[in-house]
Amino acid sequence: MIKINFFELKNGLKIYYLFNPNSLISFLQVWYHFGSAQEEAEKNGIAHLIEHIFFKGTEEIEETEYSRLIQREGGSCNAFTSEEKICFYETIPTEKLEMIIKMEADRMKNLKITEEKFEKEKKVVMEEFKERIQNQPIVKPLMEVRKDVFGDHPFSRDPAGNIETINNIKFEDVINYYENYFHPKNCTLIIVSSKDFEEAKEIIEKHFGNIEKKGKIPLPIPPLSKPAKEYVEKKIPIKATVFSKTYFLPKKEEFFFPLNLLHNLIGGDEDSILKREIQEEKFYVLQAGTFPFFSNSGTLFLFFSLHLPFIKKYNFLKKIDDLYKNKIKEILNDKKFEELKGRMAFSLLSSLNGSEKIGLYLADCIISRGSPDHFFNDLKNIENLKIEEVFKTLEFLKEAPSCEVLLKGSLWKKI
Amino acid sequence: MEENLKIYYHNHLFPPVHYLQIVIPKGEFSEPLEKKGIMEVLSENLFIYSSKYKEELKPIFDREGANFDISVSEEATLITLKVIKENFEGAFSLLLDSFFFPEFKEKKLKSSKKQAIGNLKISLTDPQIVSEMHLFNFVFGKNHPLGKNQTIKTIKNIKLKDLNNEFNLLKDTKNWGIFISSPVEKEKIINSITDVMKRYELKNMNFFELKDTKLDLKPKVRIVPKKGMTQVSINLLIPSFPRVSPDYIPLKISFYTFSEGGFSSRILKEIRVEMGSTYGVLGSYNAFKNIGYFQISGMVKNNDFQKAVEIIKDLYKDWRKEGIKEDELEEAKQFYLNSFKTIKDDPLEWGSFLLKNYIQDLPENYYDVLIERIKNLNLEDLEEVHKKLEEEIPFWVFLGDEKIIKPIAEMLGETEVKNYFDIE
Repeated sequence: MIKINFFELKNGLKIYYLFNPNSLISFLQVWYHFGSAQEEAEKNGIAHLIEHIFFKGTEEIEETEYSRLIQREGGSCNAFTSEEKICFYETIPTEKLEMIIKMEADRMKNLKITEEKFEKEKKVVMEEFKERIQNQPIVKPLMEVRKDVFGDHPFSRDPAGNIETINNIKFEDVINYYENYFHPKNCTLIIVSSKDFEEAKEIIEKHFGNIEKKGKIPLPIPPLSKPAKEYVEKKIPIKATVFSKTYFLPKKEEFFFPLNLLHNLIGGDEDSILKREIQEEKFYVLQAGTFPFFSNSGTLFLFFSLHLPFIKKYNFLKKIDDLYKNKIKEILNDKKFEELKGRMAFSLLSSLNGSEKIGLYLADCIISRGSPDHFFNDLKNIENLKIEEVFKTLEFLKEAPSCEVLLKGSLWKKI
Repeated sequence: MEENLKIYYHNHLFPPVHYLQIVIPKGEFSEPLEKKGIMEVLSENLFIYSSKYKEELKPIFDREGANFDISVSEEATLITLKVIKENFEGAFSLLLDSFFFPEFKEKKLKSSKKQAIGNLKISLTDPQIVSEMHLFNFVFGKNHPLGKNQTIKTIKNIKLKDLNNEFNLLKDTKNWGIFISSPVEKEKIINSITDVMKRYELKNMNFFELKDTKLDLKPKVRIVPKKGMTQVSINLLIPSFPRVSPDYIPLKISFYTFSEGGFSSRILKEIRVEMGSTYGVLGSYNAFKNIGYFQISGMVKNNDFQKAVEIIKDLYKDWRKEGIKEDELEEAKQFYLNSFKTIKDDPLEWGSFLLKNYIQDLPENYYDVLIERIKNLNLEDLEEVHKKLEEEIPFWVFLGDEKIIKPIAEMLGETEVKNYFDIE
């Protein structure tokens, strides 16, 4: 039987442990509660740079050895930085669980940062920025419009930073940030493993328990209450036009399933309303869909479409309006609602194929939604969801503050 | 069971869901070149409507507590069914009914073509993807399934009757392979599968098989100019051995050290860790049944482009001639041997591994053969196979600032210049 144990060490480190006896492997996630939204604006990108530097060795482990030691055991490791968090994760055969726990504890306290390593990794991070953003004609303008959409809110900064702010980062800044924010009290461990819990607890206490490192708790991120502008327009150097409309909603667990269900109904599933609209569309909509984004700072619900460039800019807006006024009410009857609920519940259950997938879902429950209880209650909560709650959320959504973004392709013209 | 049907069984306890995969050995390699992309479009049109059912299929799958997925690779089509523990037979019958009696509709075809064109348009904005398309086009040419790229024109060429023709070939392709990972005991679930399968006729038809291709291996370079780029995209290809070749396993192990092993690879250590000139230059050994090649790709800083190319060239020469060291061999062997624990943890990954072996006609006990072969590999084995590789890297594609690229390219071999979108 799957069970989640929780315990907290004296130094403040929180651990969630899911014993999964059916597996040969373990999946470990180390979440630091610090992300790009908590950086100083002029040093945007420092959280991501530190994520990179975490792989550059400690007093005990040589540079590049971190990944090699894990790969040698047949495991894998990686990391990512978001606006609110940095996550390091490893998959490893269970007999080597202690090895990675020891390595994670080691780099929490003993990271060996030299100026030379810092300078080289700064270059790597710049190349990553160029590859993923600067040389990508769709991604680059999307990053540039963040400032217009989010204004003074720290979500206006991309976790990757930019050439100027990455350049601003000094060696001392990295040391200070590492000392201040990468300590047990600002960290949560999530482990899915076939190792007996008591045995694993002893290992965690042995390696993390003696870390006395203290630092700061980052200031909370202001809520994402409304966009800075209601409309943003920009030219892009490609022969297609991208349109989006993003709604800003407060963070509320009660929105979670209704918004997911609306996403599936409107633009997520293959048989969703917008995907069908494409079939009947006389104009040149190539793709359309929706995307919900749940964070601790708020909830965003995004409509997007990709057109051939010569398209009336409000064509898609009319569609969104029509969805609210007619389409959803027309389609979402009790039968359809039950179908969508069943689909959502089964998708959740069937996505748990393997320790890594189980671990990622558990982390979503704990880190993004605030409680491990969701892991056990979600299926029941989907079953208990009422159609009225979905319509109530829809009312909330359509009245929510929003921002439209039009990225005009190179052949754009009004018709 | 039947001579033309093989079933692999795997047991899991959680979640209470059956994972069934069906592999059919027909994929993108057999597409008509002028309709490149048809398999992707076909996969979007399957399991939508069936002449056996009046309504759309998706809600029926929902009611059965099931969902499906269909994906197409170069060599095969993989259908995945996920179904709640109690409902296996009903959902499996539904899946096969929907597969054997499909209904293709003009409206849906039009929509999936639009989606495919949209995806392609987005892909064409990514310099790395375009550079890779150029590489295959450059190496294999437009009359080869690997060299002919999907374009807006080839997608627009797809008509309803083509979909029917392509589907008939898929349906009649022999030698299905089935993998089932189930929380139910073997005998019971296999009986369920065979009972349902008996209701359908699997014909024995020959399927398309890509033959090995003779290439002109004199070093050559394609330059793809793109203004405003702050990096150069490097893409290169070296012919290697297909999966069925006895040289595949030693080369797979050795290539890990050269380029496939992330931070354990020589190329990444030099160009990323030592120079800080890239986010990643990574290799992959793509081995199909009758054709195999190494591909290495990444984006490097404009100023360091020349040095990066020289390093790749020198590292290749050294690796080919001198091989790898004892500790590197041990590291690569350990990685592959231990990684199966991770692969087996995910039923769908394990199923994909087994079914890929199956469609490539590898022996039934291939997993055991592979493990034994890796365990017993030594440096002499590697030395032997390294000698069979080309002395120089024969195919390079560089995409970026032409002024930076041209002088370096000319030192590597014969060059040609192609426009960014000229990938047909």
